[in-house]
Amino acid sequence: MDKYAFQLYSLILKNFWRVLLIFFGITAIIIVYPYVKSVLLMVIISWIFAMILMPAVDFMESKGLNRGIAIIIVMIAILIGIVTTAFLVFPAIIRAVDQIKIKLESNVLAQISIQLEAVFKKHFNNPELARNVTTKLNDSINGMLGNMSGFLNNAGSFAASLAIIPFVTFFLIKDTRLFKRALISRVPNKYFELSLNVLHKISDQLSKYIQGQALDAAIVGALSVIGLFSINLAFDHPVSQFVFIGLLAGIANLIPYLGPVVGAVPAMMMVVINNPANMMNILLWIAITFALVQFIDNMFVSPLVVSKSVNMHPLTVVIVVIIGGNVAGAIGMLFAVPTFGIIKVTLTEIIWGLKNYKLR
Amino acid sequence: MKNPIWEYFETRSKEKNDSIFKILKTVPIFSDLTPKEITEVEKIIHRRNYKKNEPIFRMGDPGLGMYIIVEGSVEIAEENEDAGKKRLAILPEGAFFGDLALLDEAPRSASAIAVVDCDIIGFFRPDLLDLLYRKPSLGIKILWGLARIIGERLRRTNEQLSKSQSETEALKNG
Repeated sequence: MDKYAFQLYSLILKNFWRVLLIFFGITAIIIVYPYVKSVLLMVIISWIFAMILMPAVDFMESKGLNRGIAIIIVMIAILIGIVTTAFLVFPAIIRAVDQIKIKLESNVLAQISIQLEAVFKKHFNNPELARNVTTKLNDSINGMLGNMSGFLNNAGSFAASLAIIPFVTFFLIKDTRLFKRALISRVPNKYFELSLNVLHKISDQLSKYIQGQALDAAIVGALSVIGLFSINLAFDHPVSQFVFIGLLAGIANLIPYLGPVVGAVPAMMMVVINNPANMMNILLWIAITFALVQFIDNMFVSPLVVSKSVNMHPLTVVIVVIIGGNVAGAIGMLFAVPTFGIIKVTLTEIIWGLKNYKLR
Repeated sequence: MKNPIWEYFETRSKEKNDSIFKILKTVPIFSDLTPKEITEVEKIIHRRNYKKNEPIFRMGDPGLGMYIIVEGSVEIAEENEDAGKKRLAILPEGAFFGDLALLDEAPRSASAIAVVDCDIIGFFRPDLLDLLYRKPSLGIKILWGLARIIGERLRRTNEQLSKSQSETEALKNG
């Protein structure tokens, strides 16, 4: 009995400092997290950009170009791409919102106000109450506008982040090896080879995965734009915001199975709002277009560009997407599968390392 | 006037880098490289310090890359759970080992253990592959050096094998 008690005490003592360190570590993370949250998000976004742009920079460097200059060239090219897309997309979004607003105002809202007046006239015969209701409505609209200005203020800080992201991305691409070396130099000798190998494997798999996802999203987006553009030509512009919707379809492609629906629904909504004569015909064509894009993606694009290392069972995907939705809404759903992919790759490689290295 | 403290650290760092440069230049894999190319290699190597009797890698671990001894000496030994440790060689300052791991991840055929406190440079496969992609001409020069070493080793093995065969034949014939 005493022997076991002694063993237990020595075990507790042996692990005491380790447990204490972990406890303080977790506490420190919890305390510091709110202050570094926004910076952390910026670094993660910059890191994703760096992973996507790295192959182009490496390619230019292999042709003899200085790495710094190669990064600047690639970033300018991307900036031109983003600005051009923004010029194409933003007017389309504004037009879409205007259209929805006009439709709503002319039909739905007008009908509601007429019905409301009729109700007041018939049942209460009380113009005062009607005015009260109108004032309340005005107040809530003003409140919404106030919220909107708050959102715009946030958008200001968001714009500042956008200016910082390219800066961070530049250094992440330029000095990524330096950062890795600095990180690994702190690892004790016992874990050195294991950490170096696992770090390389994780970074290799993750860059392949993120690059694959980005390329796949770009191809699906481009195919959707081409499809919707053809429908526009054929049916006298029922989906005039095709660039915006194509872009949306590309991004939504990050969510397996659900992505195509997210792409098709806005296109169909645009048609319904426009209410053209041959609506059913166009809706059918949109469905066919998105089905075709998915077919091309699943048969030819995905198997070539998306990394096999993050294969997931459909059931896992559905559960992960639902959890992502619960945690962070639409954004959570969008990034649930890639985040799970990153966690899966990281854990798989760490387990591989722990199994294969003798840590005596 | 320069700050003497700053000057001291600058000189120390220059001396340290010079010694890495000299050591790398003596390793056959890097012997064909120009000073500028050696500087590129310096950017991707890892410098480590090991205490006496500390293992650098263990037999059976996945191979990751080669090590060059800057200071100290390293024991190469076979480790078996039943038979214990069997010393194969003691490598002196300037020697290198584990170079085959630059080519694949096959398990290490022996363990490397520091005999005294050691200062060691590590050069690893993922960095070589990355270098091959980013700076192909430099990567090819290193691979060429590696191929030369392996070729030389194969030639020596063939000679030893043929010598052993002749000795066996002689013994058979009486």
